[in-house]
Amino acid sequence: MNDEDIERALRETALRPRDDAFTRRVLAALPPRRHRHGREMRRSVELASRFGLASILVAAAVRWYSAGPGGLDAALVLLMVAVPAFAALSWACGPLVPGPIWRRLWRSGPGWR
Amino acid sequence: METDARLIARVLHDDDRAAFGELVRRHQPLVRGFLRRMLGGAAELADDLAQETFIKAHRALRGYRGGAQFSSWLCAIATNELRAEWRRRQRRAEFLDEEPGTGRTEAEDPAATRDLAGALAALPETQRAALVLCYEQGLTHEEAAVALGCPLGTLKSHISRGKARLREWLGEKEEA
Repeated sequence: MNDEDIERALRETALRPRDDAFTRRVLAALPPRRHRHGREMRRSVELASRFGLASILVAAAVRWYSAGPGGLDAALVLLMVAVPAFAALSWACGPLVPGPIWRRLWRSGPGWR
Repeated sequence: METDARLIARVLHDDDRAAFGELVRRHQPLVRGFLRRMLGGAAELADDLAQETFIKAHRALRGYRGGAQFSSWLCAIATNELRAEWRRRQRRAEFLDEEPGTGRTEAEDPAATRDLAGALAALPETQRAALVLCYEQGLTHEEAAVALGCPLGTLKSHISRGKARLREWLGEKEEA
């Protein structure tokens, strides 16, 4: 028996089982399907949460300003507190203003940037 | 017929079970045949390992880069499953103080090597795996090397040694 005979014999005696029952068995053992729109839903919840945080920040700032003496000094103090708070929240929770809106706001400015 | 790449894209994008079912249907002869031969014909255990192979493939599909053929990638997972099974047997045998079974009949037993299947089962695992993947299952040497996680030269050496042993055993049979 030479190498070619061995190779041919191996090909001829190959085991190649195939049946639909096995396919069904594998499909039944797979983990449950993830929700088709899971990623989009998660994204919506994230954006809504960030919008909520941004709203709370704005509402607190307006309330503090209107309760105080008002004027330029108060606005300056408000900015000194609100800007780091905004930055900290953005850092911790992701951008509070969605990227496209932020870019539009930024570009609509006087162009000093 | 849709390509493997297209089916994989459907599984990844939509978690399409029908597409994964088609991948299983297409590749089960290779995976089940390979495992069955490696386990000395133990069909039930081989199918359990084949099922585990496909489940792990489904879990790891996002990590499949398409560099190797999908069939080689599946065989690599099947080989890992096989090694894990042999390690389990080894531990069990050590615990029970028995001889571990690896789906291999004793090479010292001449009766075991009288036919091709018996002789194949008596080969060391690496040689048997190389011969089964390359000749029974039709993988190229490069694909089989990926599947077994060894360099191409090592695979060729396993094939060459395996064939030499089969020639020797089956030649003895012919002479007898």
